[in-house]
Amino acid sequence: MNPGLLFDAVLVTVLLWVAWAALASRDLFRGIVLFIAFGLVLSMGWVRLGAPDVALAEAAIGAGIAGALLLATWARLPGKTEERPGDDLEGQERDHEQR
Amino acid sequence: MSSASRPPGEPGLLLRAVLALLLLAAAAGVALALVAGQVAPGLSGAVAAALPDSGASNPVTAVLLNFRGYDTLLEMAVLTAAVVGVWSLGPAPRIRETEPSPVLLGMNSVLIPLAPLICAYLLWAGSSRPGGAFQAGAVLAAAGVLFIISGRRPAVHLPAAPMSWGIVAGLGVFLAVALAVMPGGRELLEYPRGLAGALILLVETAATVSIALILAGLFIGGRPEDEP
Amino acid sequence: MNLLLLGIAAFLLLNLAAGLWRVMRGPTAADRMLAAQLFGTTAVAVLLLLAEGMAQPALRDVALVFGLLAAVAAVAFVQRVWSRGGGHDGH
Repeated sequence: MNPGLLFDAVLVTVLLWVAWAALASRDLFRGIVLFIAFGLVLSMGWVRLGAPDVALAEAAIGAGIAGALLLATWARLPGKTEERPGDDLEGQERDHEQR
Repeated sequence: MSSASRPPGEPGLLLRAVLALLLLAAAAGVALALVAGQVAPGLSGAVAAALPDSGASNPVTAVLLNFRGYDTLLEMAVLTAAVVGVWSLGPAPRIRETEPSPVLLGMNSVLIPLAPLICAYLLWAGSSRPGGAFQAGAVLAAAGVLFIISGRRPAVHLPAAPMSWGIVAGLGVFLAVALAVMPGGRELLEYPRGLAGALILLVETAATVSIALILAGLFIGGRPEDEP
Repeated sequence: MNLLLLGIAAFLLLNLAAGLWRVMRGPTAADRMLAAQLFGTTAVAVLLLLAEGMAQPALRDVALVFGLLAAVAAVAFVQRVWSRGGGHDGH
């Protein structure tokens, strides 16, 4: 068996799943984190496709700028509490008070 | 998902079904194209044949900066226009001054000096290996982003002019080089034989500085306060 | 040799997939963000394995860039999201 085939199969599965999860996420913050993860996996995908240049660009943009940009934007969004009342924010509040 | 309490603006069942069908059709088309195999031979043979004269041994750099230099020139124009557009929207939001934690300062003092080093390495590597102006500029911009989000104003206050000049430098140098090679019966962007490598490096260096400033400028999200 | 390296890389990728469970589950924003940081480290390891297994030394540069920049998102999270109490205290 081609040793790359197993890796590629896992890679494609993970890539598609992360992409779907990031798109379908109702929680914006979770979507952002999934998008950061998507960039990492996509970079490996470019590597397997034999395009290290694109992988390098994806690494630099995805890890260095896009993630920070999305997180900073999320922090400025108004009305995040209405987005999804429940598990996420209570946990944050509790942890924040513990500090 | 299909409950009656779906929020306004969420697509209905019919739209979802149509979208799913369209996506399936697109996926089937791509799969078919993959199974059918490569129909056209592509241009890799032509690129490989012309590579020795291009001034770069990395085919990607040769295509971007030499064979299709026109595209890259216009891409620089697009990036420059993007930052001009963002600056026209208004002044940058004020940085909330915070006292960074010692951990963050320690990490910054390690990471930020490494970024220009790796930037220069990627720029230089671009002529023979994967790398190049965009990747190098993005690494430098990431260091700038790290600096911006650390929440402290830079101790050295950069005057406005160098930032503006730096942003247009990439496009300006590229255009100047593109026009400067024209005397002697050459086309726009047709580098002279022996000089191609040096000219590509010059263009890429200017582009790196510009891309780094443009990406960091886009992250700031508005016109720096000193700008007119 | 190749089989071993690519096999380990696939295993690490499965680890990344397992970490996605933490991103989905949460419950706090910091849990999700730390899982993403773990992915950055995993990606560096996978890329180094691929560089050896595919005999493409250029991939080490990609790993280098990931190693350098993976922390940027974490800093953005701590400075912009976490320091404002999860960002839900308004402005």
